[in-house]
Amino acid sequence: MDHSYYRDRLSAYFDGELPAGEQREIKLHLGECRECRELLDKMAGLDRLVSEHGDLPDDGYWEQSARRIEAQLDRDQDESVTDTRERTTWQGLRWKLAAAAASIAVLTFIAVHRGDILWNESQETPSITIHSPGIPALKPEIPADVSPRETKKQEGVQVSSGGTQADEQHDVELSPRLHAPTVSEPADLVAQPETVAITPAEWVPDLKLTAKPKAAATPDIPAVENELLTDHDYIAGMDLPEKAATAHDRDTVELARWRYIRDSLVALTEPRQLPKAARTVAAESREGLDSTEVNITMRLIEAYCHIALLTDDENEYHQATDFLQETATGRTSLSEQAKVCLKQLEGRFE
Amino acid sequence: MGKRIREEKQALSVNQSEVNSAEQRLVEAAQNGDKKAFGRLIRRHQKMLFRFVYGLLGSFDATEDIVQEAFVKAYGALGSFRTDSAFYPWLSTIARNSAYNHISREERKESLDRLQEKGYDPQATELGPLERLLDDEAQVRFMKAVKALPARYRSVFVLRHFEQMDYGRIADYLKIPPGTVDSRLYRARRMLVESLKDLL
Repeated sequence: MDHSYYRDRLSAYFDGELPAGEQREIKLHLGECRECRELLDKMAGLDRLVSEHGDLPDDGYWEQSARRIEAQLDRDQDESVTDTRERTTWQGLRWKLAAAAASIAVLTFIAVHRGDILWNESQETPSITIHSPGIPALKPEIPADVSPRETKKQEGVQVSSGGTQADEQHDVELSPRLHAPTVSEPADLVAQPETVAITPAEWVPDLKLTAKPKAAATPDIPAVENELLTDHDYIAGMDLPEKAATAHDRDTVELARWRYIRDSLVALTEPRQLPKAARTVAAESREGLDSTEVNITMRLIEAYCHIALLTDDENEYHQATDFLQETATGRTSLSEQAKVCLKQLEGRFE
Repeated sequence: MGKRIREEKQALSVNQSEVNSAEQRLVEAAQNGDKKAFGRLIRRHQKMLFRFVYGLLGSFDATEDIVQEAFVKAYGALGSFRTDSAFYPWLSTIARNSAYNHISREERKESLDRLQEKGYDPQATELGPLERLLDDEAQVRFMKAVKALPARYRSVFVLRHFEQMDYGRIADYLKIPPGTVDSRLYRARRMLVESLKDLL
């Protein structure tokens, strides 16, 4: 066959894309054709060149590019929210117009049929019962100056409960109107409707959660992007809330997260004390993310500050404050941040 | 005989399950609204996607736009992504769809007659902002040589060498017969071999 027949198939031969018969034919031809062998070698060289020079190098450009894309995502999301709001506003306006039209119609109807409506109001009004667990049965006292029509309306609302005064103190969700000093319990006015019994034991746990004092305020320290952790670290961090969720306690989850971040950052600052695997992670993080000592320290301040606010372990607290005090006494730009945090911690464990 | 590509594929498959598992977690987190997880997916794949799109288009600005558009579209469509499949092929398909019209326009504009008039001249080719990102002279020369290829040859070369696609997939991708993939790739390689012979 013509030499060009074989030469034109060298590329497909190189890629192993020819049928088996043709592959064999080309192989035989290569044994006797120097020109084709040289071309095949050059194709192999080109393949090496792609491997050596085809990849784009690491550069600050990629981080900028990623941030540009993230900013675009944020803008798109904002626009989407604005669009939704605009639609909601217009939809809301339409409902308001419809409601106004309906109100006018109702008022017109009332004006025309006022006599009939007044007669109907003198009939018995069905009562509404609210069952409230844990609260003594209460009946709002009717002030003397309330008109008969208002009296009927108030009588329609009856509150019943089998709880005690002590239970009442736990209540943080139920309406404060029920505890007003003007309320009394005239026995003849207390209704006895059928109620579904709810024992305090069933609802106290909920109240405990609701009534729990809020955690100390998070210090106003600028958050540093979580760039210092590798994807592997980040994924491991994602599992923490799941693990801590069994505690049903947001502070526990938060504390676990900050401990995790602290440990990862400490690992970055002390690579020599770590086993090989951890050293590799630390080295990769530094090389790949171009992190600096300042960034790590800044993030550590944040982590230690949260830990000191959340932990019940006095030793852990002192470990955190030692770091913060050391940083605060330094002359770096970060000392102010450490001072801000220490100020927020004043009074803990003293 | 494509040995290097096969070796690379084998090496990739060793840690593939680990990589997939980590990636799956990031995708799931992003689907649940974790923007930082999506940010990590951007940082994982943007360079590879950029190289792929740049190889197809040969224009830095157009590549930046299409890569950004691909990530934005991917984020919007994350809900429909099945986490048991790989993220990058899905992402590159989105980018490809965006780039496809651009390629078609470029190929239509570039007749073979015009190519013969212009000639293949990598040295006269400007890389623009991309040049700042490149490490050394050899890399600059290589990228210029690829960029200077006629679009119809370049797209086949990039899909084969940067995306490791076989001929059948390239044919499906570019909607051309497999025989045309073969002939275009052969010509692309001949041109590059000629242009870069002192580096080979």
